[in-house]
Amino acid sequence: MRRANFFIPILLLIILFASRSIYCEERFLIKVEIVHASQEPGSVDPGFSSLREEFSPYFKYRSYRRLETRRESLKTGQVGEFHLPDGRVLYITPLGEYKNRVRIRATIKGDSLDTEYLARRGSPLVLGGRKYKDGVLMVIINIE
Amino acid sequence: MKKSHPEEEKLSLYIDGALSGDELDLIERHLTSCSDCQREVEALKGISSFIMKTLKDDPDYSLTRSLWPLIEERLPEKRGLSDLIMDWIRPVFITRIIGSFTVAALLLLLFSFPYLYGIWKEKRLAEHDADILIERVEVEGGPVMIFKTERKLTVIWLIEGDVHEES
Repeated sequence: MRRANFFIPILLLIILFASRSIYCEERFLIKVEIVHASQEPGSVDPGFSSLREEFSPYFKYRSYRRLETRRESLKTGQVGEFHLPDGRVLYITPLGEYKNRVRIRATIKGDSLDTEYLARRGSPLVLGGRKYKDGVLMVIINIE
Repeated sequence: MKKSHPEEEKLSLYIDGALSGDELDLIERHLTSCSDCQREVEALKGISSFIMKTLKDDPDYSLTRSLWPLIEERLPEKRGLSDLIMDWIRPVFITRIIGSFTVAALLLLLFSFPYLYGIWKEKRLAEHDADILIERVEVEGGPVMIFKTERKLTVIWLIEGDVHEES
């Protein structure tokens, strides 16, 4: 009986943590768009005209070209690997969700960039700045 | 002047003839002037002679053996180290059940603290109305700029140090 007094709370704890990890076993659809922005005259791919407007106060890029779009369904804690055209590798890990915000860890091997952020679904984060050809590379991460 | 009486143990030793020298002189002098101690000595002598007579009349100790359980019952119990420790612990935990629950509650608190702290932290973050909340950015080998555009697009911009060209 005395042993039971010790084990019941410990058992409850295990159930609590187990249920939390089961609850967190949801999937997240991650969309990654790789964009090449350049100051050279060129086209703006469909869907990027608003991006150009947003960036116009800061950067003078005239063309925005979509190099690749990839969607990947990831479980909590699962690492998604995205190869960038300049040889770097982007790793994205969804860490969980709380009140409509998804916690994401994004790292870029080659830049030693490591970031963690909370994002509402449909709110994109732009990672950019590295030179590529005659412009820069931008990576737009979106949780759908 | 207050009269001090010798201890009962000393009087027993006096009756048994186990005292000598100054101690014996002191007791004998005291007994000449103290009627209380004289009565005490007489009583002790009576008990002593009764025991001696009993032992003499009971050569196989059958009476002594039959009396021993009654005597043993009245002797103070021998106490071990565990009893002493329990005497110290008992007032703290009152009972073993309360003690068990206290330890279990402390363990529960200890193990659930990181989980509860995580919930509290998430709740605080959820109070912000921004679409994106950057918690941490680490970059090696160059500065980084974090900003929001007018339409609240969040940007992490690596300020160029190295050029990554397609080979």
